[in-house]
Amino acid sequence: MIVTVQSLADAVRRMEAALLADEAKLNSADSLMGDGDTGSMLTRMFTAIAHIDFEAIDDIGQAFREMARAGSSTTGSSLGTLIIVALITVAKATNGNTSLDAHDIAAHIGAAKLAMMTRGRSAIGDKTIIDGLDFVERAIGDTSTDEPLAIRAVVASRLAVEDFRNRTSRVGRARLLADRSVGLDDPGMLALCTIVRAIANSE
Amino acid sequence: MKKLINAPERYVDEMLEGLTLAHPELSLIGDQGRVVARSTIAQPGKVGIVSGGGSGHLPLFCGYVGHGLLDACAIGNVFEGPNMASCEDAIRRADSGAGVLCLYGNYGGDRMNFDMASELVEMDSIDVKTVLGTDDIASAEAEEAAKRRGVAGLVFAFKTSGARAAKMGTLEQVAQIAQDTVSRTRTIGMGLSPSFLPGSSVGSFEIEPHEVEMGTGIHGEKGIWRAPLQKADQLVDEMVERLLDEKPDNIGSDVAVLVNGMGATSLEELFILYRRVKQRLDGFGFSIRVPLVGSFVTSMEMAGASLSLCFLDKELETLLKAPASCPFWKVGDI
Repeated sequence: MIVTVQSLADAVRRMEAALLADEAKLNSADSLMGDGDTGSMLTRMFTAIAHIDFEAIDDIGQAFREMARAGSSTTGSSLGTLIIVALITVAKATNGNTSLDAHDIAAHIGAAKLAMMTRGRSAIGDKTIIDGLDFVERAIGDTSTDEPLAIRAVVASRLAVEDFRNRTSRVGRARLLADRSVGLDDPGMLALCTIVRAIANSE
Repeated sequence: MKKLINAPERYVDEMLEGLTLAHPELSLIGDQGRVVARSTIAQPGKVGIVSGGGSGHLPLFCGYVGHGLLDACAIGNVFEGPNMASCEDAIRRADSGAGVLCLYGNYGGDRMNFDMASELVEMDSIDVKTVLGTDDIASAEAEEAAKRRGVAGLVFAFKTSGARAAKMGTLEQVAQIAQDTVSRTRTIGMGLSPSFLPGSSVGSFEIEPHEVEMGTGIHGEKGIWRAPLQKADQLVDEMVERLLDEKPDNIGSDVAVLVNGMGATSLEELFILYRRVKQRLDGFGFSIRVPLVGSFVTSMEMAGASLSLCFLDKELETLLKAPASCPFWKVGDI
């Protein structure tokens, strides 16, 4: 299986719709520790990304770069910016190619994860979207199973949320409310579930 | 929550439009119109100073663009950092050939976007240095002071570094003054009632009508303790003592004081607080060289106040007293 600019564009449209559907839920999750705008911010971001004229783009690296550019025009939030960092990382790695191989997705997620950790000055275990990505990277990089990548990714993103629910947040505003964060789901990890589910829904 | 707005999604842009219409010495620039800059281009060779952050804190951040202060400011949505493009636009606008100091509060989104923008402009040979405001003592323990948030004390660094830049200091010197000021400034806030995002009925934090929270941040971040409201003098006594407990080493007896209103607290109340601050600092042997009382850094309609102390040396005092002018603050004659 390969990912083309066209299949990426289709996935973007599904992500936009899924985030719109989950907007209130994500806002509600964020309001428990933050300012309650995660769903609205991501909806705004992916609506802008969905407006990209993907048909005019052949290079998948360029498509990711345009996604980063469009997304960055809508937000300066921590979570939004981390997603931009991930898109830029994949854009650099795939620049000059018309597609990317599904078997390389885990490596791209790993590289994006490291870039997000560096830029965001955070680590695995801090209870952020990065932990969700870490689960997904390991699940789809697992060569011991024949289960479809999409299913593994969806399950892993959910497992991450459950695994971290009773842990404390260690970065960002939630760090300041660490004791209150126990028992609560991280809104960035929840958003990753929505995004991964939307990507997987084509299969 | 009632607000005098037209639409939540136009809150920031209409505010910026009004600000720049009322103050033609400021211009709205950038591809997305989210950068406030001085309308007159700075003198060639002057170090530029840029700040930025989320909306909802006026006069912070863009209200401090002016002579002897900031040259440009990138603005984000309410309580959300400015995006990378706006940070880049602000830095490029502020550059007059001597480099640019990025001076803003220590928040994740702001930091990432300014860092990425700085890397972009450095590819075009614009020198950039960054200093982060970290004055909020309630936001992390002293051992992790670098993780602290920047709040009202950031204003002192705007003023001192702006004055140093106006005197044609080098980028190195301007950044050093900003860092010295941050290193010598401590702030603690208290909250009485929350702010509300435009269009939202959920407050930035929950608090009972009879309660006060010590240590609340400017986005409603959780403080140190919460209890029934106490007398003003009692609250001030604790704030002063907490700040003095964390005073830097090797300081003299001169301080600048900022009693800051969070948005909904009256000037009358702020002067009641200042009265006690003066009594207490006098009692501890400090001399207030620069007293500031007013709403310098707010959180929209949040009620509460913060107290900032900047422990001065002669140079910082001179720079704080140097002429400056912006829409919300004037010092001396320009």
